[in-house]
Amino acid sequence: MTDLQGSCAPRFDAAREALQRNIDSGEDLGASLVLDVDGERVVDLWGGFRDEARTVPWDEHTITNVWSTTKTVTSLAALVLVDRGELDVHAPVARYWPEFAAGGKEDVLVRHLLAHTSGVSGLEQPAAVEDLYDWDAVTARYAEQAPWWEPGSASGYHATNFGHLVGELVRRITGRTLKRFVADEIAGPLGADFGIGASEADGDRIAPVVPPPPPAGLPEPGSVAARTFSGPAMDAAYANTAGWRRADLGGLNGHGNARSVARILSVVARGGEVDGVRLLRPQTIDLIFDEQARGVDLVLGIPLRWGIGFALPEPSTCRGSPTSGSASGAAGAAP
Amino acid sequence: MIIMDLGRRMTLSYMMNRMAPGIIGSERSAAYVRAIYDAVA
Repeated sequence: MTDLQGSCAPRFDAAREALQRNIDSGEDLGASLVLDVDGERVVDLWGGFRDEARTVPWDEHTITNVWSTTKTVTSLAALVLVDRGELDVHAPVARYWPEFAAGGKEDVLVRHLLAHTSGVSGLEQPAAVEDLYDWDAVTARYAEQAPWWEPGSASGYHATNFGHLVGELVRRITGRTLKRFVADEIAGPLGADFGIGASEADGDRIAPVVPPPPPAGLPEPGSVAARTFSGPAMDAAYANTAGWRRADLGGLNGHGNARSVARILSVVARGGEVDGVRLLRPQTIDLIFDEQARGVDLVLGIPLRWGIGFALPEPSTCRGSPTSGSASGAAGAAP
Repeated sequence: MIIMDLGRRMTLSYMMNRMAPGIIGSERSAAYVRAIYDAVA
């Protein structure tokens, strides 16, 4: 048993109690939970343990691998370039990355990458997790591939390669790696304790991930889902290795906590500017709500709705949040 | 999990180290989202 640390406005006691219950029961090992309302952190809680032996507490500065939440920061990076007029979401990917036109992909658009509709949702075989660490080699392979379905016609979650595809656009335009761009242009200016990958100096702050039980069923052999989930097959234990932490995996290996991730993405919720740091103009934020795909995702097999860079409210993506009549415009995001 | 609710200028974030089955959220994240929205509704 351990009490949560941090602060919580009384009206959110039910959320605090739910987190406390899950930590007490062991459902959650260590965790952080933040609610930012227009710059005020009305919930800012953390607790539990970093390790399965329950010897090292999860503290205020603990960070962990945040998996697909990383994709939302990668999308923000792309939108920053859109906002500066350096990237056009309606342009062909090949305008910025000529090699990507190979394999019949000359008409794949930037917005297709940002909405998981490009047809390149994984790596052709042979594929190993370590292949994702070699940026130049793996992006060259994605550029060569033929799409696995008609680009733009449906979404198929770009589970492991979203960061490479979007990140290569960032690299071609800015000359900087995605992780460098995020550090220089997003996390740094906002003072957010977040990075793509993690440095060795951060090693003793990281809560290792505890992998989930294996999935119940396997997708139909040969399907887009099967090809994606085997291109490469992901074992969550990789996240606890040095090679993973060194890599630039903009779809998978962001390291941070609830506070730093909320700080970064509050830019979207708060009209593009946080504490004098403006990353997006309102018209750039409007692009997020330009629906690109709606239907059963070819990889995840559940109904999803994608805007440009982010998932839009659907019962399956924003479980527990209001999704009907969303004039409020919730940009749910983090598959 | 990260949710941005532009209408409420609200950002909700949950980061943890014990992964649940599935790729999109979990019972845990759903419970926290529900509790938060019950309080702001």
